[in-house]
Amino acid sequence: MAAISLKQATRRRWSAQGRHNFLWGLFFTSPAIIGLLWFTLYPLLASLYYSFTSYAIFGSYKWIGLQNYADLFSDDTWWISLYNTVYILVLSLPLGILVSLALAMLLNMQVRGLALYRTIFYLPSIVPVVASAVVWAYVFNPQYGILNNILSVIGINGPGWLSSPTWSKPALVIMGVWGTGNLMLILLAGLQDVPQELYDAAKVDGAGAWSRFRHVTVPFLSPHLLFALVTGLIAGFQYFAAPYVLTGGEGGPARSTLIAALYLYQNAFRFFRMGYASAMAWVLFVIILACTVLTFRILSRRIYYGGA
Amino acid sequence: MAHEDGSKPAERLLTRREALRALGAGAAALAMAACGVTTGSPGQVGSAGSTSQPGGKKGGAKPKGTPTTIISKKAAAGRKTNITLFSVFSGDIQKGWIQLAQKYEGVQKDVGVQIIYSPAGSSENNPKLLASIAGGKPPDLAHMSPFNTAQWVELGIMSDLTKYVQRDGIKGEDFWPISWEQMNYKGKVWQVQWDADPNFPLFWNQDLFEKVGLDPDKPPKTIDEVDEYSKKINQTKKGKVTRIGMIPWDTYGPSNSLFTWGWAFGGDFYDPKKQEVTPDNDYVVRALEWMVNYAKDVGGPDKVSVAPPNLQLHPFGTGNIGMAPLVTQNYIEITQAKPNMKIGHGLLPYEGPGATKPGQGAWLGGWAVFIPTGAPNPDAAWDFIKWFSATDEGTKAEWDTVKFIPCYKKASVFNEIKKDPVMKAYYDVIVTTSHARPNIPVGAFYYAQLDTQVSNAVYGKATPIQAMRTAKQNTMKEWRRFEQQHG
Repeated sequence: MAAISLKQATRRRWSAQGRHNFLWGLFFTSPAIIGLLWFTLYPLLASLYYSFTSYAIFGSYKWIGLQNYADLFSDDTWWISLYNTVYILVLSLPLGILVSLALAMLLNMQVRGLALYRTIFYLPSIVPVVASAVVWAYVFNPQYGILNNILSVIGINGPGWLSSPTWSKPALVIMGVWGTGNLMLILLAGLQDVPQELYDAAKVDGAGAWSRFRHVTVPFLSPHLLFALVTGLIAGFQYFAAPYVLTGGEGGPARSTLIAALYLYQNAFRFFRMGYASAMAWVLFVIILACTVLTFRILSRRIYYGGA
Repeated sequence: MAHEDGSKPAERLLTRREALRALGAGAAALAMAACGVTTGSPGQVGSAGSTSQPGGKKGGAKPKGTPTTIISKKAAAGRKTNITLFSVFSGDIQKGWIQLAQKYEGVQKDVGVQIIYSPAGSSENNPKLLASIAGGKPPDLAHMSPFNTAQWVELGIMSDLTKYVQRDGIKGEDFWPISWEQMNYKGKVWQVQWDADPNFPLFWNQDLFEKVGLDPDKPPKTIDEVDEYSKKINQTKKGKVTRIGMIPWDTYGPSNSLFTWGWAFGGDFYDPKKQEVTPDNDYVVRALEWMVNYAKDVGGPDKVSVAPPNLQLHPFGTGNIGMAPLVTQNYIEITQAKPNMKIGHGLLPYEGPGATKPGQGAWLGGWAVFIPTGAPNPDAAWDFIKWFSATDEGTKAEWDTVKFIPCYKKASVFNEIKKDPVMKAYYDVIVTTSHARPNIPVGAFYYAQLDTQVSNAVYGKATPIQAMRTAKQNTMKEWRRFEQQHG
């Protein structure tokens, strides 16, 4: 009986202390919480509401039910923008992961000047998108650009890249690979966590370089690769800045670089169809959510979390 | 070293270190390059040899000016009232605006003018301005593109200026007729156009004409002559068009190209009686067919590469384009950067039977200024507007600082403009033109449709008639929706 009373008293004392700590914690985090509620949660819920209205940023709005969502199905530009988004995503995501992985493995070797190389490869990812887009406009110039000049050395007459509806999307994919520094760094950190003794044991067992990569490196890197895949999927559907800068917000030529986020922006701020744009945003959200859940469902059992 | 079996190891073409070094050098070069070339807006997709270049079009794609420095101005100290102007301009034009505001502060002692940079963005959507109005904190006055008037009025974001105009005795005949038409909507005045922006005279490179055996003093009068001259000028190297007679599909973007050549063929884009857009007008479609055929003849629009990307100067200044319509700022820049380049100017060529004389394709674009709904100091804002756009003294000050051709027809500064060797070309246009882009409640949508559909036709994704019918159908659908939901 006495033991129970002591336990209750301790819990009360702990609770009082805990509540005190909790309140102070709330106080210190309140700027972030208020910011989150006001600048994220409120606009999020407001956009959900507006997606059922004919809201035009100004003045009043009318409740139109599911009309915006229904209109999306018959809007061929919306489907084209989704196709362009998926096209760029499907090519750039695996390519970006492969290039990051290759660079990370190269940078995981012991060579002289490694710190310098790491810095250099990371550098492009901190260059502002606008600045890098300007540079890539030079790179892709059909007549004066470095890319076509290199191609001409090996006898290939390079395409018009950004001025060609056929090549503009591949051009954006190539440009996207340039900024893989962040992912490279994450994978490099993952590679440095792989125990050396496992490689040694595999070598003793006669495993070649490919087998060591396949059966030692990849399992250890699998959580990092899953992270890359999921964040890449989300970023891919939200892709906006580079095509906006390179096309002056038009998505040309002939709608070939009009990606979903750009079309959404045009509707919101150019055509004053904020309600319609909100509906687009929520459809994109559902697509991203579905892709993410699917990715987790398919891959979660294949991920190796060390000793877990 | 030999292998255990005695064979020699395969010689590596590239060591890992070398691979890293090469890749690193490439990445570093690109990253460093990214740090040093950000003067001006980037070029646009589809504009490898494009005329849609930085600082090019105003009232249609981008404000003219050199967008290198963003500058603002504080109001002069000690004034009874301070007003705020949201200006879309940067670079030299913004400096001009600051000087203009200072001159205004010098001629009266009551009002101070603060200027804040508010970029127009693509198609003049100006998200910063619109957000400020939507948020209930509008500026006292702001720049806008005249073609947005009808839509912005319908959305309730513009103040009615009729009472000021009537009170101060300003009349329609004080302005160029097209400008006055743009300032009015549903019988009221909503904005004041201060930049006439005559689009366009035709300019031709007399040196290039001479080089290819054309008479440098004989510009093309008709579209047929443009084609004929172009055959002599066009030049292709390694599958790329490195010299071209004209780029008719890229006269400051697809929609502005269609407006220009559509009118040059005698077409029209809007029927005010039926309240209907008419991009499927026979002559407009013929104009588009001409643009498409021109592109096909040179091997496709993506084969044109006559200028380096992000060139500050209009590509006409490279000497690789034979003939081009140019806005004032671009022409001035070329004459300054290439003083030895011999350039002829005249009226735009036309095509019968729809059109009957040169210059029929010309139109007025320009910039206007308006007072947003809920602006804190509308009276003071109007006083400033009236001074720089509808008084002799103010329009002269505007010409001396900002250097845009006024819409105030009575301005004495036109005596200077028509004698100016550079500006005379534009004066000839302003006194003859009778067109402006249609001012309808879904103007931005209509021009976006034209941009898309002209691009589709030029790149072979649709026939010209299909493209124009789609543009009409989509625009009318959007117009009906807009009326239903906001009418």
